[in-house]
Amino acid sequence: MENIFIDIMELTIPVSIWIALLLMCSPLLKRSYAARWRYYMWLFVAVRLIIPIRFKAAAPITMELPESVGKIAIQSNASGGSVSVTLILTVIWLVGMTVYAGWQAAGYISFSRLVKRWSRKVKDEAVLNAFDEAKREMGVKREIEIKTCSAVTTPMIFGIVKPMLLMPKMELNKEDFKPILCHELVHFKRNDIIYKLLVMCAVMIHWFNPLVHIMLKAANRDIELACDAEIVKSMDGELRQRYCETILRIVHNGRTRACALSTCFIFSKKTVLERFKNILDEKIKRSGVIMFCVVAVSVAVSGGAVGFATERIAEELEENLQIIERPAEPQKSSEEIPEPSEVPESDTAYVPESSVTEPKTVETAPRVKTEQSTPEGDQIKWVQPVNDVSIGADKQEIHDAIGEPDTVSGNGFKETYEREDGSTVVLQYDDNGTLDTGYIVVGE
Amino acid sequence: MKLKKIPDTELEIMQVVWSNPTPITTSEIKNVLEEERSWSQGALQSLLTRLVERGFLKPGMKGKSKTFEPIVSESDYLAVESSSFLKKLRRSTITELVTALYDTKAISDEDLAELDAFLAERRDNRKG
Repeated sequence: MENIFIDIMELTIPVSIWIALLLMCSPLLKRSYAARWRYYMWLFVAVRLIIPIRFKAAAPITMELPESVGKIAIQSNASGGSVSVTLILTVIWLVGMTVYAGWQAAGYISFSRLVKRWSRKVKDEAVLNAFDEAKREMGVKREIEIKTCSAVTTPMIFGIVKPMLLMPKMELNKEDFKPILCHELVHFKRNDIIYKLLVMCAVMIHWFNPLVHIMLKAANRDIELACDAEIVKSMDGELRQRYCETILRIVHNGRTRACALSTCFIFSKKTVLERFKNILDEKIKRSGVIMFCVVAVSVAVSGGAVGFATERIAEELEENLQIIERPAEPQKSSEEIPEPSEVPESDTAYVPESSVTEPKTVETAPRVKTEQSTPEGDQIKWVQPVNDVSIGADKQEIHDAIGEPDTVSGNGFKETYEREDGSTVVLQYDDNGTLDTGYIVVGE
Repeated sequence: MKLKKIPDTELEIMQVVWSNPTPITTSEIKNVLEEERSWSQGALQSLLTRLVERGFLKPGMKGKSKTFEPIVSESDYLAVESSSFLKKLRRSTITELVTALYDTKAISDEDLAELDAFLAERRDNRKG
């Protein structure tokens, strides 16, 4: 868990820089680029913010080892300090995540109960006709129900599992009604609730990062702008004007009712004004596909670099451990191996310190040595391996000799083999794919 | 009288009363209700009586039939069902998990007037 926490911390910083850049640039880009590219950009950033968790969770075996290794290293460094700072921060992070998720879930359940209790079938033929027409025009094929609900002040799509369109109590004529329905149906078609759910997940994981919260707001705004752009694409100036006026009427209607209502929510002038300008802007904007690609690749790469950096840190921790845990006078028994590429027949294990403390010996005479040690704390023991591997041997030779690894991590730099006695063999390769270090872990 | 949360069936009746011209007779209420599902006359009668007792409805007579008028308005009752805590709790769902027509922060009268003016100006420009 602590490792996931470290990954998240390291992911949050570079991605925040991207969020900040995107936010700063968006006023400039707004003039010539469609809202749509920002819409996808936020989705991309959100997914990027969520993904490492999945990645790690998919490889729980590799995760476990560095955790124990990291813990020991930290404890050893603190010389007797029993609880590490990382552990405390991890717990705080988990608690924050739980509170955020709990609050959101409770709000959702409460609102869905209210909606269920207060919504009624639409009986007005004019509304139903407009709804059918809007569905046809927008090419909506999935089933969606329309209901009136006194407890809401604005038309909305609600429901993750079974979305429905809720209309507030208000009088509108059919011409004005249709674009509003179309707007909601575009949200429905685009699965914007799922989109919002994804962004919310990113916020949940990175709850401590204010920029991610700002991103959520920006994403919510861009969802609306992108949706409006879709609706008004085929409208002329007059229709666009009317569309704005209808929105404003709903705003007025909501305001007079809102305060008594459970969904006492109104909206900021700035966002509404921005919407209007976006709708009334008949200029054809560039889609921003190239822009999206450039930024997306940059974000992905910055995240990737972080992923790599994390691996490096884990490796460094392990190296530290090797130094820390090494007994002062390790007993070694070594045998010369004439050809490093040959798989030796004798029982051998490899001595980590030869590469860590004296890297030069690796170049000149790669050796496989046998070592047994009893480190302090009794948490990790080095034992003799059953199979034979030699430093400097290349990956393929090792695979031929001892079979395929159980897990591979660090872009193939690290392999682990589970053994029948419960111990784990860990092998690390260098850039050329030759064995650099290897050791055996027994239990915790 | 302090208002209490009423059961779903009573709310269904109240919604009919709120959304139709009043005073409204029992049979008129029954007709509207039956557009969704069938109701027994007896059950409806007793629910109406209970709503009168609760202080939601004022009974009256029109010719030979009983009529009802709401005492509590729909928005007043909605406020009862949504304490400020519940509003807060639901708020993030409403802003973040529904795709509503518009965004959700406080707007003042001045802001609204400004928005009105903005659209009016655009309309004038169009005509001119």
